Amino acid sequence: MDHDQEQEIIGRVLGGDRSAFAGLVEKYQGVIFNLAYRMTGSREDADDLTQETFIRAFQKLHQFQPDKKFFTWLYTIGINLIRNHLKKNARDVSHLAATGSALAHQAQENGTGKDDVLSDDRMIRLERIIQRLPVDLREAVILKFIQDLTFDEVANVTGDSVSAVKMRIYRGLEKIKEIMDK
Amino acid sequence: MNEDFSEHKDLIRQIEALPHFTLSPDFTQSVMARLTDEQRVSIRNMLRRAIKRAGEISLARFAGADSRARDACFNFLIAGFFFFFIGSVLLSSVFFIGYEFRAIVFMLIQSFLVLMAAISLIVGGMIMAADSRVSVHWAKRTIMVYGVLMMSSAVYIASAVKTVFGGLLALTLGLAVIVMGLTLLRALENRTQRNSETFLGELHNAL
Repeated sequence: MDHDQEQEIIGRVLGGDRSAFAGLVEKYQGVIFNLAYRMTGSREDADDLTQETFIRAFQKLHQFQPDKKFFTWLYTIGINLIRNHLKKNARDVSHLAATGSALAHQAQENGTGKDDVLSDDRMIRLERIIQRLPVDLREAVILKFIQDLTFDEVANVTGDSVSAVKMRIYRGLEKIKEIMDK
Repeated sequence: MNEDFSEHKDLIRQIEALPHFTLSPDFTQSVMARLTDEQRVSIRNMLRRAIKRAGEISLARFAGADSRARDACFNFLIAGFFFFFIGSVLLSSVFFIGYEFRAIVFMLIQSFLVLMAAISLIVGGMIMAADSRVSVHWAKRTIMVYGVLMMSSAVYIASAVKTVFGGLLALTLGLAVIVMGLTLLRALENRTQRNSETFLGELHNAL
């Protein structure tokens, strides 16, 4: 689905064709869910936040500016919901214990490890380290390297300058390295 | 800091190789099902929603609510009935004055403000009794209405009774209004925190 097709779908939704929105949900559900899952560490919360992101996007679709990229706009909605969620549940880290088994299960499903980049244990450890990063560093690292956004796109989504984003990513990587080396 | 993070090349490769998680196959359907329940925010829809919610208010529902919801509801109702009592006494005293026009006007305005504040809080208690997903939002609005009305009452006292006693009375009333408003907000916050402890409760908060 290219930019023009997206614009056409958005036009149809704004014109009253609610079912056309399913195309956008289908296309972006995976990336938003992965972002939410890695930020919260809870599958239930991630599922809920992903749903909420699309509901909000649908409700505010009339505010979307067609000259902008839809997915960065959607990411911005998602990241704001995730930040609020994390702020509200700042002290609740009980769900993190369950993340390891979920990761191992997902790795088996995906067949990860076939190119021998990461063993399961190292992968789980890396995930846990990422989840323990401060929220601003975590979101920058995830958006850049897991969601594969450009620096400009990360800056658009988080509302920071490109140089601030680069600095956060650098600090995030340094922190991960530091913890891994311990 | 190196712009292309070359010193972290290996680490970046490891992060990029992390697996992607998949959602349940019926995710799109569930989002679309929720969309049919959601309406764009408009005054007409808000009114329709409020009327619908009013229909959900029942004692049976209140009995089934968790203890913090009941606490919040109880706080609102007890405060509302207290103000109602004060407002009624003020209003009834108007009939026994009979000669001083300024005093009658003062009593009428004060009793009107206090009774409206009482009604606002009682409505807040009923909204909390409904225990719907928008209860906390609207209960906060009733606290705002109560605050504005009672602060107006304090200001009116200060302007009508131009003595040190009048000023102190207005100040004390103003402080009491603020403390009571904060207590009610705290009760609502407790309710929200209780919701955050469960997945369904979180849905409540998000909506």
